[in-house]
Amino acid sequence: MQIHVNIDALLARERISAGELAARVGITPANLSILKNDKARAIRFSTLIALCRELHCQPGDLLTCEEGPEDKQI
Amino acid sequence: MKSKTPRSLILTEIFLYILAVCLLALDVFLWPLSGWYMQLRQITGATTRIVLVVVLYACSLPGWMILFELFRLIRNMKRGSVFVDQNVGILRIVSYSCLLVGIITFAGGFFYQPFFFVTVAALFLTLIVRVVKNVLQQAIDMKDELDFTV
Repeated sequence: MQIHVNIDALLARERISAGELAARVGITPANLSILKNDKARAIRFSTLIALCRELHCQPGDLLTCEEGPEDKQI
Repeated sequence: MKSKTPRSLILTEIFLYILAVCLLALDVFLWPLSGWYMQLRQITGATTRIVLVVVLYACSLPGWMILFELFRLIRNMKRGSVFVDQNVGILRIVSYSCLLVGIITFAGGFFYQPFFFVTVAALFLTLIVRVVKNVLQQAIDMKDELDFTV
């Protein structure tokens, strides 16, 4: 199982670019890329709140639990 | 605190160079040095001298390996890459080299008993280096986790 961060679909729905979202949330584009590519090991509540605020969604819309090729070590 | 770190590294590097020169001198002058030592401690017998020379030459090989690896470690630290897997590998090699010294001196101890003291010291050093290696590995894992926390 692994956590998938569903940013791409929400970005398309809100019609904003990844760079703009990174600037609004206050994280670097590199960190947003880590999130988008499911490479993140953890996400801070403050980041999650800012993402939900900017993407007008709930944490459940942003994060989904999916079957992965291998379990991530957390 | 920050300004002290490079000075400490430079000091460590100077000590490493001094150690390398000492080890080179030992390798070059081991035969006359062993004669002088045997005269000083009033030890007789050609076999003991040969054992001394063979054991010390055998120990100088892991000694060079340790010095080489420590130079690599210092170079990495100068570059600012402290918490990297390469440094764990370096400490692993250093610990195995210490263990090798312990094994060689243990074998030599059956011919010249004072070598057993070196064995104990080498095995103790092996343990210390392995603990430091494990701590570094843990620190790298924690840094990795922190780097991928958004």
